[in-house]
Amino acid sequence: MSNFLPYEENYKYGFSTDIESDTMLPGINESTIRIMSKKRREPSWLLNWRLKAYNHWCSLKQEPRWSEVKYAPINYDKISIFATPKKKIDSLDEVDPEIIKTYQKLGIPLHEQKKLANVAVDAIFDSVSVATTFKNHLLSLGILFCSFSEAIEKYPDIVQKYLGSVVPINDNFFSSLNSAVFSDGSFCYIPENVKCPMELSTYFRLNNQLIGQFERTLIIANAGSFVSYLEGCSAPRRDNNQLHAAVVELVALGNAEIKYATVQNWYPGNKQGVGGIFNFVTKRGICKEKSAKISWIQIENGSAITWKYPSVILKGEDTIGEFYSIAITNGHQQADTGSKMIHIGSNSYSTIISKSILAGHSKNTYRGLVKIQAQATQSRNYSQCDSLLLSATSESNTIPHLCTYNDSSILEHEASTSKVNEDQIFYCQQRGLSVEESINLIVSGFCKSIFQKLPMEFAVEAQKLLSLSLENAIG
Amino acid sequence: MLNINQLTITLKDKLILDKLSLEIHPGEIHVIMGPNGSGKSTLAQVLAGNPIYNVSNGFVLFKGENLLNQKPELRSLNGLFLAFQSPVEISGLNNMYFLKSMLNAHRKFKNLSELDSIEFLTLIDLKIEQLKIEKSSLGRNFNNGFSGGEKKMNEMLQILLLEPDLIILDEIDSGLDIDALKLVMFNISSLLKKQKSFIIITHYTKVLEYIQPNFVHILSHGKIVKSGTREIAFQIEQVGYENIH
Amino acid sequence: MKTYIKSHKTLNLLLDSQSSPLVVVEMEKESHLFLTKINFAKKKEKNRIEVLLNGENSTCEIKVIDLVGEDHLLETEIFVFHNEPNCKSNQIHKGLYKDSAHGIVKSMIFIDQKAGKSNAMQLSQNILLSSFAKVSAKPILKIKSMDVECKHGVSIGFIEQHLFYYLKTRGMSDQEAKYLIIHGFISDILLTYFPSYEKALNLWINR
Repeated sequence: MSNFLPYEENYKYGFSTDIESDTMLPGINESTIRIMSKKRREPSWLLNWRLKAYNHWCSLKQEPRWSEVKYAPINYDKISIFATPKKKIDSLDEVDPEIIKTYQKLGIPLHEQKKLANVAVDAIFDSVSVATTFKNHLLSLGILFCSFSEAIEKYPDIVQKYLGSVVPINDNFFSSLNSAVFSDGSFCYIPENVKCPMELSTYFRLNNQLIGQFERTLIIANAGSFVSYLEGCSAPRRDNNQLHAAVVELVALGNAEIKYATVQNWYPGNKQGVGGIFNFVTKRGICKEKSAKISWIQIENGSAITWKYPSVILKGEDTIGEFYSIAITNGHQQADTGSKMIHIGSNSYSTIISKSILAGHSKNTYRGLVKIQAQATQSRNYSQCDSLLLSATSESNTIPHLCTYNDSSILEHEASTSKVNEDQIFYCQQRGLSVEESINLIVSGFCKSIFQKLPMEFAVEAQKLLSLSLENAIG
Repeated sequence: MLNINQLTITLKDKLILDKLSLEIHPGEIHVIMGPNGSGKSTLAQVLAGNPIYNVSNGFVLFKGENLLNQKPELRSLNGLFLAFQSPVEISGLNNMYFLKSMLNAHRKFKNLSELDSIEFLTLIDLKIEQLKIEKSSLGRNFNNGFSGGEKKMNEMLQILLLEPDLIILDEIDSGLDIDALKLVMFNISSLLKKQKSFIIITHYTKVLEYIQPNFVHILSHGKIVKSGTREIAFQIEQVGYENIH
Repeated sequence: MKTYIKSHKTLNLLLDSQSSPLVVVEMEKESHLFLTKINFAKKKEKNRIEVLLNGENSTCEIKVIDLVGEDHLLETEIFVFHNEPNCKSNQIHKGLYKDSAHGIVKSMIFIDQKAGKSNAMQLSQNILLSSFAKVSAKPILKIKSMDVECKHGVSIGFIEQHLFYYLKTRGMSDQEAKYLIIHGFISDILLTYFPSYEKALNLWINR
């Protein structure tokens, strides 16, 4: 326990009860960070780490401006960094009827609906005990799977060793901010040669561990291990917070494999483009040793603004990095997303497959970087980026960057942008399907290669979500 | 069943069908022949509701109702089927999934319960047997990488699933080998017994060896220039379209 | 130095290393451009070709060969702007890099909101002939219209050993085999447009 700050027993405000005074202290500054860290009983190294990140963040002054997304300035003084528990709602009647409609379309049972809408769960479905059952089973295999706060408390050495090792505190504006003030998130540690027997997901602990606005995730797969992780749940989630700045770090050691899937379906704002979440996320994995493999799979159909580039650093020899993405934008959504593959180890392979679907007045940009360094001999990359246009008022950009510094590697990139094929629509209509149904079939065909990468039960939900977000897509 | 009256069609100011009239009763087969560019395929497309064509004059009644103001999907649901000359390919879309979606759209329209995957499998097994289609083709993507003949058989399969009332076959014979063509024609004969009507668009007289049409119409420059029994088809084979008057 | 051309009919442009580093062609209604360039890079240079399709039904076909050697740095930019509907563009870029050459290839297809029925293609193929050479490619699509058919492709690679091996089993020396393969890579453009450059190519490879 030497790593911990002495805990003041008589500290006036217990963290969990002190909601009022927490909300009275908005703003991101050294003193709020110190207070937060103290309240969370964090070890001193972590406080110092946070302060270092904070100082770097201050020196940056403003958000990066190179992306294609446009938004009003964010007022950081108004952000309260304390994990403000979300308001509990007493019954489903208080939940936005739009959300309930979506749940019903998704076929989510009522008790699940309550849980997802953050309604206090009644006795019918005890999510806490379910989560615990899983946890104990995993623990018996040596798998550590818990909230980030719990990890700091229980496994400080592991956290200290890997935190910031993939995304350093000075990586970018939003990751520095996250490092300074992150509240909670997920932690996952797979011991050597253990194949995790189930899909790990934040879903299991959605209700007892609320995730804040600055989420931090760390996954470590030791040599020879395997883990498949599902981020978020596929239900739409409204949130008062405008800015979400998460950081996800993945570490795969020799022969280990991490599969990280995301279905993001956050509130995209209303039809006029008002409101919605700004999602500025830094996700990066490192294939640290020989033959490690990391795959990112993402289905993006939420958020007003998405800014994220899940990346893989292929450091070891024979490592593999993969990125499979479907980004679907409607209304006034803006997405600037893609991947970075940095080849350092020789004989490393990476694949990028990105499918964008644009509807409404949305803007969708694929941005990618593939870099094969001089020592990464005999490496390969294949990238494919296809955009399907459903609306005349949308805007599609493809901005890949490919470079290689050796003469034994092969880099291939292909991209296409085209509108949805009218002959296909007419054909489907001739078989009795409406225009909407026809487009749904065509779009799901367009995305099939990515859906196949998702775990089975997830793929079904993702496909349903896709058709939901395509509703009224055709103007 | 179908009453086409003085139908005039233009595409980008070009006249394609010129005051065409035609009447088809239940259980009848009408064969439409004509040289390339005579407007045969346009007729098929217009009846199916392809939005690229302009109807500048005339009307069409299908089962006594105005056809031309119906959306393409409604025409289909009402029992009009077009077997396309070149059916589209849709990459990534599972063939079986497409067929099921199609059939269920029709069942829903008729207020019948939608078939689940298992019920559908039982049904489709029967139909592919009838057409001697390889079962593996159901698992492939819709028409993706299908040969010309396989695509045509897939169109036929859809006909057997839907059993529509008016079936327009646009060059069903192209791409089919002789055994497949016989099989198609055999299935058409059994549909005829159910009082289904057919418009068969073709270049060649080959199909006429297997069926007995009620009428053969010769289309030229957007007009029916001659109608008669199948004898005129064989006449064309001898003298060519130019000399038919 | 800048070359600016406004074209309203069919224009054939043949450019080489002596041509101006910035060529801008503005295309009027129903005009057609065939632009072909072979470029033996000097020391450090930046070349830019800009085609503005500013009239309906115009087309452009751009073919560029870059040969970069020694410690030279070549930046090639090929930008095509579809500003009016019904235009067609096709870009082919082929780059060869030897010694410790450094190539930067930037290309862009821009399609304006009012440029419906646009058809645009962009292809860049690059071969590294030395382990000290490097290439970076940035092909960009910026599309504001729906009614488009747009494609781009980039490849960066090297001459595969089995090709070498095959030619050597037919009795060719390393140099001869290399020449043959490189020649094959660019011959479609070279032989049609720049037959007089064959010798220069041979010299460049063996230098």
